[in-house]
Amino acid sequence: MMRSVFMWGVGPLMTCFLASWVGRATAPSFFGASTLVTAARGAELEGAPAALVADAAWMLADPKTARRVTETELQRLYFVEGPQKSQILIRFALLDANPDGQRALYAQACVADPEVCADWRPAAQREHAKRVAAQLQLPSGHPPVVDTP
Amino acid sequence: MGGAVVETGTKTSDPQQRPPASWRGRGLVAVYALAVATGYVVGTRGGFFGDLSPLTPLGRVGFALGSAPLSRDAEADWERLKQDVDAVHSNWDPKDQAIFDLVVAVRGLQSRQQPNWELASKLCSELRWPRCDRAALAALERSAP
Repeated sequence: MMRSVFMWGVGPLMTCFLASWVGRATAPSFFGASTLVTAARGAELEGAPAALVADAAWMLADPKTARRVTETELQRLYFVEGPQKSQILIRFALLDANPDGQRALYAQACVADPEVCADWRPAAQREHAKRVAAQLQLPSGHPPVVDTP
Repeated sequence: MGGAVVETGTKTSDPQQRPPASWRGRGLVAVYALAVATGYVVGTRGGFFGDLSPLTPLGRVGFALGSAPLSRDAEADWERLKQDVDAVHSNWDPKDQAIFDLVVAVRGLQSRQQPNWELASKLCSELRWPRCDRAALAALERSAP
């Protein structure tokens, strides 16, 4: 009885786990890196193209397109953390004409990235300076922005 | 002889009721083969515990955008990346597909990480953006993902 249980039950299960381990170790690679990643790393990599598209629009596009793409970026807010989240919020704050709205966005940026808490102006200036296209028409109350290259 | 019922004490073994030993052996081999195949396939997809999962085409494009120099000799990977870029392009929001194409051109994802400035400039002009000169596009090339 025990022999049958081992042969037909435990044995195949152990073999299955062992084969799984071998399969995992020999999973296909992509440019030398494993294609098996943790959920967090997968989400980070999947967010990179959208972040670069948003960067492209922020840097080069007209203000209207920059605003539209930044608004699209807000939909990714729940999937990003830390400085990246803070960056999206600061960009949106720069586009917000309402000073109260700006303050709320800067407060959220502070939660995402404590570096912004002490003074949000350098972060806002940094984001504004990234625009190599026409400068944004900043609403009143914004920090003085640095000249773009 | 062949189909006879053999009586041994109180036990009766009927060869027509129990599979022959060779059948059991084949069955056992099939079960183990299935276990190996299932385990291997599950393993290549991250294993039984779900802590790892395979990269999607979007993830592979993200990897290529964020990586330091990629091996130029990895023919199969470049071919795969080309297919991934096409797949991601077709799933991208149509309003922003051209921006995605611009990023791909500037980062040289379809030209072994050599920026395709000509195509990038053309795409940028089609977007009617205020800055499409080489310096502006080069700034985009340098931006981190």
